[in-house]
Amino acid sequence: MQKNEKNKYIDLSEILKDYSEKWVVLTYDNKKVLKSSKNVEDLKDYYDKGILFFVPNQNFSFCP
Amino acid sequence: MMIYHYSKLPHATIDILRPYIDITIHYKTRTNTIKALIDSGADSCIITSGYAKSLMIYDDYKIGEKTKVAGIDGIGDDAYSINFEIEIKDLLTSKKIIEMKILKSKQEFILPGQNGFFNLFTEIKFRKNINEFEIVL
Repeated sequence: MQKNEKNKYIDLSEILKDYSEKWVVLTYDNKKVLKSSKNVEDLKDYYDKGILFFVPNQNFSFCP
Repeated sequence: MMIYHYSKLPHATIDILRPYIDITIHYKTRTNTIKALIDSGADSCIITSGYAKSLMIYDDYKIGEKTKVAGIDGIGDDAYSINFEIEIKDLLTSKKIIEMKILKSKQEFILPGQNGFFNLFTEIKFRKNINEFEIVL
């Protein structure tokens, strides 16, 4: 079977697996966690250094 | 036009791939880049209070117009509408004003929805079979 080269995704599953329900600041290339905390305000010195993200709970699916 | 890949998130039992996009949000003197989940099923744009706090918006968001927002549980929660400016690297390079509703929630998220976000663009196409989505200005 021909490989579908376009079937790609950004894989955050490994780098975020230890951060369930925590706030993280990721590098702009999505490759590394710069800082994490339970409290978003602890990251305020890092807001301008990357991408802010709350890592969802890993035990349930999300249906907003 | 820009093509984005879905993002795979950690999950205990299944593969979770979602259409996230990195959006730069400006509010007064604050500017943050935030990972937002494109939500074609949301009537409006939603930002939860934790993300609002990162933009130095605390209880003062209640100055915004009060509305009710209901999720899958059907319970209407109070939300407050505030205008933000957004940019998206390589796509929206000049600031656009969008209204977002600030909501308190146990989970934290930003959901760019139909009113405010989708109507900024000519087309937003999801191609789940190849884990891509395309946004056309």
